[in-house]
Amino acid sequence: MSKKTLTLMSKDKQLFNIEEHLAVQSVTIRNMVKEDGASSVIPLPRVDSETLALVIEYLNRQQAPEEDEDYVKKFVDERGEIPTLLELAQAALDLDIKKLMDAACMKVADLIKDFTLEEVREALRIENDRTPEEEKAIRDEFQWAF
Amino acid sequence: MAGRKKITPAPELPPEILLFHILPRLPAKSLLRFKCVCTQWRSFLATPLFANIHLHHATAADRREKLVFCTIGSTSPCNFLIIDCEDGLVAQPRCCPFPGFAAATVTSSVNGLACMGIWKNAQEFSDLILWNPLTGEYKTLSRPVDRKCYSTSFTALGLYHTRTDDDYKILRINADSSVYLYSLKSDSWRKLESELDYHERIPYAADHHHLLDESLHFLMKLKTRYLIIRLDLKTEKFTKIAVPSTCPYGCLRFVVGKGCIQLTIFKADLSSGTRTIEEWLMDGGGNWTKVVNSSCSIQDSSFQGPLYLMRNGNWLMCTNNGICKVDPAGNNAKGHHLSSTPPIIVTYQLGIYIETFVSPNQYVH
Repeated sequence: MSKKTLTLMSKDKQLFNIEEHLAVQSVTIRNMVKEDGASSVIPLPRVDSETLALVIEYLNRQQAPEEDEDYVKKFVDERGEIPTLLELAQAALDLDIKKLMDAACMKVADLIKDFTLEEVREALRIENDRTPEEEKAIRDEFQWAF
Repeated sequence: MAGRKKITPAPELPPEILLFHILPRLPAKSLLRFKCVCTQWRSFLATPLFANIHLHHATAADRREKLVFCTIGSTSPCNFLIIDCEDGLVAQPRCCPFPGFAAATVTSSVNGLACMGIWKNAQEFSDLILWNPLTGEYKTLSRPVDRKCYSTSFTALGLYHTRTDDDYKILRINADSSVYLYSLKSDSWRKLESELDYHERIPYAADHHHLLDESLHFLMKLKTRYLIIRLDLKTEKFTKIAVPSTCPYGCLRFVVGKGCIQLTIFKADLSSGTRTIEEWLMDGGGNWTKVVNSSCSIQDSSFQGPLYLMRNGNWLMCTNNGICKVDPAGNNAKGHHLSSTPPIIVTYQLGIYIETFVSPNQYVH
């Protein structure tokens, strides 16, 4: 008997096949399969094809359970770029793949924890809407942290 | 920071991933700086919701604890030292914002809050204060009707958090064995009925307490022996647990690790120049098993006080010359020197805490 396959469709309409028993590591997909059998294509309108390819690679891993923790860590380490990791974290959040989401978020936190304020704003595309006076007040209050 | 990083800007994503999933995983020190990033971060970092999510991550299995204690006799408000429990490094002293800092004691600590006793005189505290050494927020607790509760001599004084009703509570066992419970939510004290009666107990000998399986455990020092008392938080009943070995005052530490109570017994025999370390684990039935028994020679007679059981199984110790770590199973008597600190630390005034944004004023509306 051949294993049942699901088809996932990315934001940019690319199709990816994955065996159902691997795909249901995603709680979101598991619930969809339970509800309607998910015989047709599952659209993922917030995930682009590059990110979905990564998610599929992760779901297809063949690790022994005791090596899984190390695998997830290494998996996100090898994709050390913040934009890639953020997309991956968002996809893992949408698809409810807890381990992958945890690892990707932890990696981003590790990468930015020593950034200067300017670097954080630049890396995360945040506009500085604070006045220099407000910043100085915080610097003075928590001198030891700066 | 040396060298500017090459940064590729992030994709456009909903803000939740940053606010709810990335920020709570950052170390507290980074978060204090990142309050300056933008107004949205500044406001979100100040919410009880963020404090709770961050606390959840900060109390995970690989949490990084700190020791906080005050340097005695200092006239500066910045007399609180913080030691990192895993590397032994001493951080810049913290200033405490409340009055009476010159004579304050860390009595107990949980979830990033320290319960400080402000000394009125040698016999009595003028106030108990809940203080978050990270954010500087503090709250002066309402005074109990029974003045015994603010006596500086007590059997137990423990701050703990209860998950079921999300409240911070203080259990106080007075020298006359009367028991009081303080609740932060109601900012009030109430008396507990108990049959405790320990006349042979040594005053000024409160030790750290630990919450395990919905019970609060205290180590009590009696004149001739030690005893662990356990308070079941649901039934509010006390039980006594015998301790496996006898030893002189001040040589015993108890901690909770891997879900069970562990006792470490340090004995120094200066006449023969040897020190022994025993480690005991207790099972659910109150039976003890010895897991480590090591002995080694001490090269000098310097004072060594155990401070903290590190994640790698080593003990962080304070000595006349600073902080060092000692491997109980190893044979290095002097230990590995980590940092220089003020020569004398009064170990029973230490609080062990994690850096969180939990506010002592969270229940004030």
